[in-house]
Amino acid sequence: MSKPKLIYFNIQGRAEPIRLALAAAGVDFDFEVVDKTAMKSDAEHYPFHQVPRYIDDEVDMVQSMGILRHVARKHGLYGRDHAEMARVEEVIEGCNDLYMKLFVDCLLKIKEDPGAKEAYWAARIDPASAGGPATFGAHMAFLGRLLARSSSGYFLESGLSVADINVTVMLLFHMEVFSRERLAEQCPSLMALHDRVLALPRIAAYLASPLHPPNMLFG
Amino acid sequence: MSKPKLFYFSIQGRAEPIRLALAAAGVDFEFEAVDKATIKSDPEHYPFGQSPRYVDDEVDMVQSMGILRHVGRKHGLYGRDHAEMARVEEVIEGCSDLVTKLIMECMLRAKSDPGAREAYWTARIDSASAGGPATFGAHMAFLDRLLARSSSGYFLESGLSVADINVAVVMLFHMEAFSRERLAEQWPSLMALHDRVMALPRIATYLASPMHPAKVISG
Repeated sequence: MSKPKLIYFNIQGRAEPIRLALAAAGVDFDFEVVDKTAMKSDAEHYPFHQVPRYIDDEVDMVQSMGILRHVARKHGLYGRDHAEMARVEEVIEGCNDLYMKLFVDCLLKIKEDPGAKEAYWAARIDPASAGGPATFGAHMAFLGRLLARSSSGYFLESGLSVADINVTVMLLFHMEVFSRERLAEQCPSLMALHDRVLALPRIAAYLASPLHPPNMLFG
Repeated sequence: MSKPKLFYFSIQGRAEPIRLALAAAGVDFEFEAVDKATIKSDPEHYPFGQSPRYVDDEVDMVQSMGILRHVGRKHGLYGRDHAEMARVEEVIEGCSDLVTKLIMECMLRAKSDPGAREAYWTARIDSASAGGPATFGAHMAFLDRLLARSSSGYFLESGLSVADINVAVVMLFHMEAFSRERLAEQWPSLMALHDRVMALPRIATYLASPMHPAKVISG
């Protein structure tokens, strides 16, 4: 086997952090659009009947955030020591909570409930909610605060990691619902991080390449 | 600093996998109970306004599954190589999906909808739903299949890891909603794994100790 292979739908979606991490690490990879019938019936290769799936010389695995951690570990985007890895974990887990909320509270509800968009904004994005009673307060504010602890411009003092890449994609998801300007006004440092990551030479080259799917959510 | 310290509510909850992992690894730790007022008002130590929080000689961190990975890595419960770590990731991520569904679709919804519990059973636990159309099919079936790939009685050929511990706690959570007998009838090998883990000498000692909270979910 030469190049690693990523299998997913032809959208950015849950595979985009993986693609960006591979690009940032300078790892050439192949992409294959998943055969939906295989995904639903081939339990050996799709143990949860889900994609993405990732194959390299060491693994044949599923679960997007598991794949992201594997790629990060293998290619030097996971931090240099346990303390840095802990920072990466806090950001990945914090982002996951926010993704779930975006999908469940906002994207899924929007069709029947036009107020869902603004309700989500008020609860999760608006910094006024950061002191709120809900367990899941304004996660964007929390992530902004974690970023501010570092002087490097990335979550880790040592530089780029999959924490930065994951937050970048999380913002991309949010830009499917809310304007860039509105998000940038509320979370300027996170939007600056997003811009910084997407402007990295290897990532910019990937974004201009055919491997980068045009659509975030629907292919 | 001598012993690591865990901060959480006085319940098993989302900290129980961490306690079990520390016990399995023979790591003495301290516990300090927190309340909501504390964690909401101290963003430096509780950056997401959530617990558990874990402090040792290397980290001061939050996010339960991030902490579990740190403890797993540091104390030899995370697999020996990238391939084994990938297996651990698949199980941890699969469990996270299931616990989220249990809480949202079953426990919270059951307060207003008496049919929610059985609907959850049919969709997520009943082995007949493993071939169903939903992306999130019967996750217990998926975890069972992953377990069956190994001959060691644990998810990894090399033995106990935080994957097994996490699944043992998933079974515990489910026993708050469904009887042990009913779960064991559907998923005997997962229940056997739960029993095997809880019978390990260091874990059995922890379970008999005052460190082990009496309540699973509400304190």
